[in-house]
Amino acid sequence: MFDERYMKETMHKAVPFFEDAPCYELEEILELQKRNAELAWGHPDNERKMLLLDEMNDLMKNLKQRSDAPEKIYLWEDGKLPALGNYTDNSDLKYNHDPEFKPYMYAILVPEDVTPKGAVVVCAGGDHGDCTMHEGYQTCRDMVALGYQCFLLLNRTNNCPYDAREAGADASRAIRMVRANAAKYRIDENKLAFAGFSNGGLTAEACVQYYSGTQTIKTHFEDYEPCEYDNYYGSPDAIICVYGPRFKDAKFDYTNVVYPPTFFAVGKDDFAMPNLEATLPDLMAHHVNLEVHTFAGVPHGQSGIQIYGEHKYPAFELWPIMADQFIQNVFSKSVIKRRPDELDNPEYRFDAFDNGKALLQKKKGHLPPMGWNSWNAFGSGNTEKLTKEMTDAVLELGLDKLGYKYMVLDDGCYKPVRVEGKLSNEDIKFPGGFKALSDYIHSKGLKFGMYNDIGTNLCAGAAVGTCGHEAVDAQCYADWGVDFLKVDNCYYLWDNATFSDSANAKYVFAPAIKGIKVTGNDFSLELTAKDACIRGEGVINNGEYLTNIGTFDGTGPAHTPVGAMSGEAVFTVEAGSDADFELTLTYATGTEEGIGSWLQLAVGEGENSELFYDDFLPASDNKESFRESPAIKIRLKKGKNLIRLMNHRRQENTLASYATLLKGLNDAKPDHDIIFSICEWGKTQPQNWGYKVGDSWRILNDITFRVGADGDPGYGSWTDDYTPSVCSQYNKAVIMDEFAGLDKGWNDPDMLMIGMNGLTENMQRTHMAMWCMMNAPLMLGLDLRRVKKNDAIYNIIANEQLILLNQDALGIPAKRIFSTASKGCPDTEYIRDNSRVDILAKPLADGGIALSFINLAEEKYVCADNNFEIAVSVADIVKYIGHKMVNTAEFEAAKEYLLTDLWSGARTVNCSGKFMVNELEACDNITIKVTVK
Amino acid sequence: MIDFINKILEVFAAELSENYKPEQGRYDGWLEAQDLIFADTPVDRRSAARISHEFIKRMLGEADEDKWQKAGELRDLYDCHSCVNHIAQVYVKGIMTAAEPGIFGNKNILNAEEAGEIIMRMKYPDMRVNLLREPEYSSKAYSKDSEKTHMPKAEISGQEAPKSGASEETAARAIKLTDIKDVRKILEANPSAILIDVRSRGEYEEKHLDEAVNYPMAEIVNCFENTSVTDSNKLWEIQKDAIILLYCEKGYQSEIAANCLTEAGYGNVYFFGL
Repeated sequence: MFDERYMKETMHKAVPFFEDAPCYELEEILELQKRNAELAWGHPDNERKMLLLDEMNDLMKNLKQRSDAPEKIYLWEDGKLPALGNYTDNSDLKYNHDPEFKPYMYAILVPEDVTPKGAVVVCAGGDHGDCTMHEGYQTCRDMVALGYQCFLLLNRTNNCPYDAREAGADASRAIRMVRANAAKYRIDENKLAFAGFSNGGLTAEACVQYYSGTQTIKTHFEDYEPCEYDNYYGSPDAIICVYGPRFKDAKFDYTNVVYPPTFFAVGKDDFAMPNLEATLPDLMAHHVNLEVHTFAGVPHGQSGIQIYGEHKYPAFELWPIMADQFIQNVFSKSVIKRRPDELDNPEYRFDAFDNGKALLQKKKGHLPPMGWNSWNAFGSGNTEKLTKEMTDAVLELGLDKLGYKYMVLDDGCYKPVRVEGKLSNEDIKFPGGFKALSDYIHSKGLKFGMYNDIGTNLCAGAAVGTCGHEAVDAQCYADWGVDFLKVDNCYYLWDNATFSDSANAKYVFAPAIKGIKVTGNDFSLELTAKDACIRGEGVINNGEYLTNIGTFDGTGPAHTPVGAMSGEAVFTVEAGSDADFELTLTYATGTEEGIGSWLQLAVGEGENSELFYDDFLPASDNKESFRESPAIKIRLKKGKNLIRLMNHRRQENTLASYATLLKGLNDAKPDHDIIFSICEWGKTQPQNWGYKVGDSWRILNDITFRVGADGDPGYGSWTDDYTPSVCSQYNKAVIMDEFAGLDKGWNDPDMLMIGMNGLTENMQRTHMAMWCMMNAPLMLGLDLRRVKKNDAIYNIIANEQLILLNQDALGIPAKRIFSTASKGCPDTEYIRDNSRVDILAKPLADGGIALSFINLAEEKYVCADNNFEIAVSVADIVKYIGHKMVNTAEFEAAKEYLLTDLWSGARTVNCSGKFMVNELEACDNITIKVTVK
Repeated sequence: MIDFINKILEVFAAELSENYKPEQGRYDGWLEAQDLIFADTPVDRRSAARISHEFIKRMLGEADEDKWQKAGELRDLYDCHSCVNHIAQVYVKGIMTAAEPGIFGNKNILNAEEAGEIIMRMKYPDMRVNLLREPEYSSKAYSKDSEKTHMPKAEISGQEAPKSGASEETAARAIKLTDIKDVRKILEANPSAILIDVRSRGEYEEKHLDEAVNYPMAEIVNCFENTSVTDSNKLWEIQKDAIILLYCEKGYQSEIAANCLTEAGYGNVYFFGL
């Protein structure tokens, strides 16, 4: 008597055994599978069927898991499975998985002494069941032998009966979990392939359709509550599709999708071939990177049948080897970074910014660089021909003898795409290539500079940023003999820099914080925003919650550069003894300036601080919707503890990125002396950290946006509300002198605008005097063919006496020691009202000092009625810079001083010890050198 | 991108040397390598600003505006440091407007209609948006697609072309014809239809369609831009529900003129290229 129900129940009971094959002795499972296969395909008669069923039940009763069976890794926490709820009844046992099925995976790993090449998530076809054995388990064995950490996925199967979004969600979840545990599995988080067979191939595509790009689980399941896994990318970096191409009449929506490189292996006798033939043109039209192998005489479903001892299709058995090559090719070319670097080295952290230590053997003692830069002169219209003419002009004018030596190619010289992964010259503007140009410049005794970007693209869009390519690019720069590198941060991935995604603010601001709860043995303490102290500047506490925990954006002129540039929220907690505690926060995440998603949590300050959390917190619904964090383990010491909630990643990420490039240069050319010019426009307050890796740092957005061209001098302004003017840059740089020095580097108020329209001769002279006094880099930005020896422009840029101030061996920038607009601290007040007169004082190596009297107003200054206000005495000078002077006592005690006007050359003797001016033309300066007579 | 560049070359064919190819633009400095390497990508606003500014400056000799403080009202002006001057110049010259008040919209993609408008303004200074005028007036003529209602395509079956049915508040849309046969059908079905050649006088005199009258596009645009009506301007005499067909070589100029008419309240306007 044949019992249909008995058969269904038995085969249904066998499913978990096949799916858990990695847990059993293979021979035993094969016995079960043999009988199952005969029942399914062998057309036995009823009597034989009953016999097979009885044998299967006996086998299943006696099957025991191995002692070293892998652990079941459930994909979702109980109650958190994202589901559409359409599947409720399997009483007819139609499907392999009942509605209560909990998706899981097995980790099948390489031996400990093998370095894994990456990860592969494997998804068998059909409704899993016994397909898991040959397509799933055998593939894992093959890929492990090839060096991959494998993850056998038992997800809710696509169409059997679950929706593609549910099947894809499980696949996506498995991928996220593997990435999150990359360190544990000893792999690179961004090297994960997904192998899908037949229906499993459709699951792979569902994962890409619904969960690639910026899509998340929540995109498709509204009520889903994100957890920490959701901060990892949920789609694969490569797909291996074994006879599982999309159905030929199925639609695929490419908007919002990032389709990874895909490898197909399909037998030519496979009924899926027409689907392959229909899908390939569509994928190609959408520029998907493809590798396709078809196999004569191979029907559907034959992958991994070696596990049954069958070798009917020896050629098809080769696909894993081909896939391995494919995957390695994809992984090696990929420079994908999905998260900012882990900062293992404490030297890269905020708490180390004040320790004065430079990193990576950065060479110190560089004086401010001098030379010519193409940007202000010719913008993106600079060419090889023009650069050579400028080089010749530098020599003709004798500027090289005065110290101008770096000829720098700014933005606009690269081909907009990499060639074989490397930077290449724009072939119309720079037909000879960079090496030839470098050689030409070197042959004239000058040095060669170039430009790049720590982001993915240069500002104008060319996809040649160094992000991910640092090693390759550094090697190119070394090969081309580059002596100077200017690097900006357009399209930077880890901050909302120029043209980056504005949502990148999520990396650099902490979430809004309502309160914290600290619990431990017999200890529980809840603190709210009201209990927080603010450390530093900028944090806003509205009584209910704290925001703006991060670093000010310094690109614009609104904020002073002196003082704290970031803020933290600090809670003080008293602990009875040294012990471990758990901390949870009530918080809300955002992706905007002021409210981000990344939290740093430390206990203690400076060298004694310990960082316990440095990552995203799981997303809340929106920036006003507060939720609880997972518990964070912290350690407190006996007594008072400062718990700091902060985010210094704006500065730390940028420092790390510039450091990566410096490291690349060090590796490519050990003991190089390349001048490293940091140009992130002051966004991350580089005056705090720039000295660790660079020789100078820009402090603001550009000094002019109206750059010149061949035949057009461009336009510069004296004043402006924003950054493009001499005074905007000067006003900020002049109070930043303490950040600069020979052992650190220099503040960079941008290149010189001498020679541009819009600036009078006085303005240009004062511009030069200011930059020389402040130890700014002196980079000329004009068409030197317009200059003749001893003409007005020449007399400014070739003023040897002023240049000697800038290049003085003491390397101490001038300090502002007086201003008519000062309220008492002229050296640190940030003054932006330009109707004023400043006096700067600079100590020099020969014991003298330089004084510069500067009238920033566009009106002549005349001293009113003998008030002699524009004056400083020796005492004033010593008060501000005495401790930096070489011979303070002698200077103070002297009776007579020799004054040399550094513009006119006139010399006078001063016996009063008081240095003053009574008149200053508009935008003019009087700059003198004072030495003891 | 290549469409934008080709449109420029076509509209300025007279000003450029014969057979001027896009590649020549790189040598002349108004195009960058990426404009041609990524020819298939859609043109974004900042690239359009750069290209149109460099073109009028280098190829037409048009000087920069010295005073561009008005551009400071664009909050995203300084986002891209190499684009600032280009954006400021095209904004202050009225060649490109803000995408929304105070935002230039650097990365917004231009559709064909917007791109066409920009090129027309490059060519005809009279068509540029005068920032000193009231914004409502100037934006009326150049409102985006979304602000106009979409009318169903005209029935072209030998019957009288339908009335537009446009409501009082919203203007009808000018309809593009792609087949010369449709043009003939409309003309045959509607004896009182008016056929207008919007090319220059010279081009019209050299050769034009039978029954077509000549109103160069710039004149049509000026006619509806100016608040005062002149006697000699016959256009004002045409009934608002008249059926009007406009044509030019490629369909760009006639499109601009057609939009002008629909904005002015004409409900049955068609345009096409030869």
